[in-house]
Amino acid sequence: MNFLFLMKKYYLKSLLLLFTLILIVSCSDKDDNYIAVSPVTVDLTQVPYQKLSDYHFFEGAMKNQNPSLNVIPYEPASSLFSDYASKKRFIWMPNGVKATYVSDNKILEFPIGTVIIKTFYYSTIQPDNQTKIIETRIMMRKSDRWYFYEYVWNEEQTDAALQEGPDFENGSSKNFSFKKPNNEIINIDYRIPSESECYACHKINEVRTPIGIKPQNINTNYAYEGGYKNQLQKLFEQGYLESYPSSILSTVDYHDTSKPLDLRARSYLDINCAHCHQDMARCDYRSLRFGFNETANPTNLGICISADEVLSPSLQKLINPGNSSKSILHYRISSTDESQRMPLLGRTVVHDEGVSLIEQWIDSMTFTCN
Amino acid sequence: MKTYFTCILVFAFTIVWGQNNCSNAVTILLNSTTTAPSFSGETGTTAPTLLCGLSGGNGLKGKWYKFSATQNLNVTISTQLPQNNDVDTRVIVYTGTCAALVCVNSNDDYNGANTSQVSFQAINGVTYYIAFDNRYSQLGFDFSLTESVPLGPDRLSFTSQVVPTITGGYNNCIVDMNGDFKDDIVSVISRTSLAISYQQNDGTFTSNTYTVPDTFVLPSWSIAAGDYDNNGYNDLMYGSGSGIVFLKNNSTGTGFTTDRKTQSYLTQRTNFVDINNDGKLDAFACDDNAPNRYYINDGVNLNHIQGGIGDFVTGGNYASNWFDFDNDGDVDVYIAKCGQGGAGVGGNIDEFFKNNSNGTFTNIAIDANMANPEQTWSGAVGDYNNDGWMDVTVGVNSNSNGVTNVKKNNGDGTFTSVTSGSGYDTITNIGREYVAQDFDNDGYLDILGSGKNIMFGDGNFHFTPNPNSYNISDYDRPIGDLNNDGFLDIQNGSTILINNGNTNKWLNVNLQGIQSNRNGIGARIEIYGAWGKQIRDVQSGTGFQNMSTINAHFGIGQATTIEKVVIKWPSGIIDTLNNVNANQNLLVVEGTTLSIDNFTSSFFSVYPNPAKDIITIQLNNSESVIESAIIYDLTGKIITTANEINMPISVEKLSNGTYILLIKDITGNKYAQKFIKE
Repeated sequence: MNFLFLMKKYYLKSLLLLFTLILIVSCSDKDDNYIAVSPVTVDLTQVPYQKLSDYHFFEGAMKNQNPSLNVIPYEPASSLFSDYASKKRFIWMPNGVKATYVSDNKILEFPIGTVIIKTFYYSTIQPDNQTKIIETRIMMRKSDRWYFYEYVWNEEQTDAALQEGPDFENGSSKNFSFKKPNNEIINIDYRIPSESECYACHKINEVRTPIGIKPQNINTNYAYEGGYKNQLQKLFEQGYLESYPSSILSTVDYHDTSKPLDLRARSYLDINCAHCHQDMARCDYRSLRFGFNETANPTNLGICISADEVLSPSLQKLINPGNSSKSILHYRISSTDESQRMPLLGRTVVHDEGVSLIEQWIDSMTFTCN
Repeated sequence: MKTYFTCILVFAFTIVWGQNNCSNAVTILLNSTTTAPSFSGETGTTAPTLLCGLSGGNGLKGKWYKFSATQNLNVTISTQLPQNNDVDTRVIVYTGTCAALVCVNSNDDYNGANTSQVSFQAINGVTYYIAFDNRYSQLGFDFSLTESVPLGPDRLSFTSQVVPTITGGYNNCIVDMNGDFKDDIVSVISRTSLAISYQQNDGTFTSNTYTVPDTFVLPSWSIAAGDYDNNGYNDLMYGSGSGIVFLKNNSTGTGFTTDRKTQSYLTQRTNFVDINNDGKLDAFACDDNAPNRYYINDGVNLNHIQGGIGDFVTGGNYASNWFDFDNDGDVDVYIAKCGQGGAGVGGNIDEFFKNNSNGTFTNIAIDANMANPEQTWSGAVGDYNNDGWMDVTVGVNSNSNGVTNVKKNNGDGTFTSVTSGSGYDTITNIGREYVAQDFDNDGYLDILGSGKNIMFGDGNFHFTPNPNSYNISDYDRPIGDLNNDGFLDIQNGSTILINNGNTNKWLNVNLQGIQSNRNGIGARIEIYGAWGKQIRDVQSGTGFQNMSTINAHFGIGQATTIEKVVIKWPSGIIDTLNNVNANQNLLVVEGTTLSIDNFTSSFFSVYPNPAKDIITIQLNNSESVIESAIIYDLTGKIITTANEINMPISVEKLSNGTYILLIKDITGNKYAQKFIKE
């Protein structure tokens, strides 16, 4: 065979190979101007989408809940008790807009297009301690107000479906058994809320609002993929937060026994109770004020205060210092009776660890009522 | 010396061992102070288990004492003594016998202290048992038993009676459940079981415990009763944090089927009421988080509707009270609202819906001056001044937006506040439950509202409490006549407080609807006599959470006869009874007093009567215009509806018998007369 003929025959292929090689080499250069694009899709004129996957908030298998680019995970220092559900929380904003700081104890002022995502799951579902995601709740800031959307996960754990019409007007429930942290196995009718139930807690002055993302609650380090960082700092670097002050009156993780009992209990009360028990909230006509920034004042906690609704001659004070079994606060968080339990919505079983914390805290009080 | 020592030892033993059980309770004298030793180290004691309203569960050990009254007097037992250093005590007082103790009173923390104090009216010759326990403290303490000056003689008193067949945990429903019009006691036990204690002629109760299909929810927020299938036996409705369920009483009153509605919402007050006035009882449920819901009865199913009667987006609807405020013959509804006030966003602003008689309702609260901003969970509705117009006492459960507001119906579509000087202007206690009834039978409505007391009305918007409080719950306090003596009684858990009454006379009116719903809910009852006029609207579900008797109860003071009783049924039929005896349960069956004499109606005549082929309606008043006519048979079934009134109505196809012709004029007035087809 003629060598020239062979050269001609393979010339094009070789050239292509050479060209490709050059391309690959040059593209792997980190200093190149290649910009990664976030797959997230949120068209405010089209939402809510029928499936959670339509937003592309997560990459890889949906059930792994790996956030896509620009979807930032977060976690409040102390979290709301929801029948022992575990939670993953995320926030996403469109390009070019930022949230601004209002005050330590107030929700950041979020721009139009902000999406807050909260997935509820259990990892001890019986039998065999299975992991199952139950629901993902979304709050979306449109031009007029916040909107609530509810997505219920399928049994296969591949996606979650939007709840609409009567399903969202009534909510729904899922019955399953799971193992509590104390190894007790219980069966619950896990409640997936209706829009009215979302609104019942998520409001101030009858305006729909997020609850958790306040500077006081996210002034902690979080283990991001790239390493530990303060959550406010992360949002700032992400371009999601305009600025934040260097000193913030902050809540603590109520599990953290290295923190003072008082701060742990007050952090617990803030995240579980303050959404209703504060000015201009659902229960502002009662004197209790449970916001962390207000509970340095014992009167706001109800210490030595006789309740408006005395429950019995043994349960008259909201907090009877030193005596948790005579404190209405302790009674209500220990109750599962619908007309007596607190919080009013959001739980059906008792939070043993929370009750124990409050009990310890009240029993350690040395105030004397006059 | 040695003998003396032995005596002391024996005496001490008596103190230590002698009071540990009810059966060896130590006698305590009047005006004495006794030392109750520490509980530590004691054995063989019995802790009291009948706690008479105390919460927190039983103690482990008890101490028992007894006191025998040798005269009628007011007694106070107290551990509020300085030497006790605010030790944490609890005390319970009983009568009866050790085997059958009856609650008198109890106390745990008195006036904000940990010590206790309890007072009661002791009756000559009665022995009272006094028990302490160690639920909160093992320490010993001193206690005094003294004669106290009563705050005043009781205007009205009650005697406690235990009903052992009250076995459930939900005890706030008193209503006739076996069709004999005597009030029975419903006690809900679980999702699959309830106990009903039926009132017997001799004042005792016999009980049945029913197993029912799973109700899924319990009456954790409210309960209501009514006969929604018109079979003569009242059905039940439970209101919970996850919506409602109906329990339908079968045709012999011996069992229940359940109808769990799928809507899940935070229910508050529930009622049975005929919302669209079609003779079939519907149900209404206040929603605390969203617009209210109701269930329209189509004769087979109760169909859910949301919206149209209280549409505030985030709810705040606590109680609904159905009554005729403008005397136009249909029921309107007052919605008591509570919620975030302050900036006045509206969750706390009451609503007041006028029934437009066409299936729709309009909120006229502002025009009617009933857009009350007070934080209320229920209003007590009744004609307090006996002027023929229903008034409303807006009862508060928080003083943050004002105190309880007494609103007088002016009769012209508006209300005026008459709280100033009413007695409510000077009290600050609050509560969920406000209901109007005549407890002392003096002919003037009283209010069972905030606090453990009754505010006795004087007929002119002045209310005075009993000098001494009553041993009733602040929450579960259903009302009914539990011993058929014409005086209203109140339940407190497994104890009923029987009204000791007085010499005043009374009338109970029991209704049986035929064309209207069987209970006659929505009917207006008027009684006339020496007192003038009194009115009641028949209702199911008053106050906030309790179900009280459906029977209409009147007190008439010292009058002995009732000149006239008028029943204005929701159907438009009017029954009139003259010269009614006092002190009886008057049963009125709808339409039975209608005449078949064709000259008795002043509005129209029906002829010929009796008729064979056709009937013609002739107006006696040429200015009136008839809009429509309905012919009912005596079982309440609609036979014919006619909108063409000018033409004679054919009755040829009717079976022979007696019928009721009900006609409606264009202003909405209704008139009824019987006729015979032969």
